[in-house]
Amino acid sequence: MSCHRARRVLFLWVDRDRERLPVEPLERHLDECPECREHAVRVERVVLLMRSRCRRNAAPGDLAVRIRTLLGLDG
Amino acid sequence: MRREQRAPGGREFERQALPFLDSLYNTAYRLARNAEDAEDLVQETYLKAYRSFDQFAPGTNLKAWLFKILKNTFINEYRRRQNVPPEGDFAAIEEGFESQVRDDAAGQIKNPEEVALETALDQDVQRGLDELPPDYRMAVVLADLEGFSYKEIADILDIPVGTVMSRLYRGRKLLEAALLGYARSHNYLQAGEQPAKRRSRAGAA
Repeated sequence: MSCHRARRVLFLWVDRDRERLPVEPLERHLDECPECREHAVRVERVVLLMRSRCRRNAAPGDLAVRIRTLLGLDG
Repeated sequence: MRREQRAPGGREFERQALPFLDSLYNTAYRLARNAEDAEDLVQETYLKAYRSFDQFAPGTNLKAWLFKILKNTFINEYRRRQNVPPEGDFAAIEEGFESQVRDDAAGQIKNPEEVALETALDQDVQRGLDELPPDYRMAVVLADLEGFSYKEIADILDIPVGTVMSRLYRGRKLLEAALLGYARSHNYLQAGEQPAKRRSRAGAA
């Protein structure tokens, strides 16, 4: 696998646990190419940053009540 | 919005669909970027879902179905009201990032990106995500914050799986580029740490 090709499919490696896609050829390339490995780690770090730093916006407490009312489910 | 008459399946809808309220709201907030529109968007989503609940095939993915309605509602009713920059603006950002990547590959300097990402502020990560073009933001939010699979995202967004992959690829790359930009503006990156090529580009910007 070329570096160019590897960079285009790095997301497969980043999402390898969730997608369970075959990433062996890519993995082999990453084992041999420190630059691409570093690249993959950087993409993964961005994803981990998002997961850890993006505050979840919880729905306002009365929104469920308003929706029930809107749908006529509060009676 | 007009109040609905209670339908026979009302309790069933409530039992199955309301547990996704927080997920839908979080995503609505990421799409609309303000609480008021996010609340409207979620209410509208539930109203549409409730009215067409008989079209939902039991045993299939209700969460993905609700998110698809949320996405359609956002595109049809909210997105056009918002100031959405044309894609072209981001092509330039991407090209800048691509050439930066090429510089990195050419240079042997320990890259300051690591430092930038390690020290990124929470608000920078939020802002970077909020400022992604909506198409990329939707894909990234669904994958990285809501944990949907590529296939589910393809279904929600009505696009091929290959397009999901490409939007994730570009979206994450743009986010990284944005974080590096913020880091520079906060002066986390000292001029001396940067390769010469990048310094000249930063100077030209």
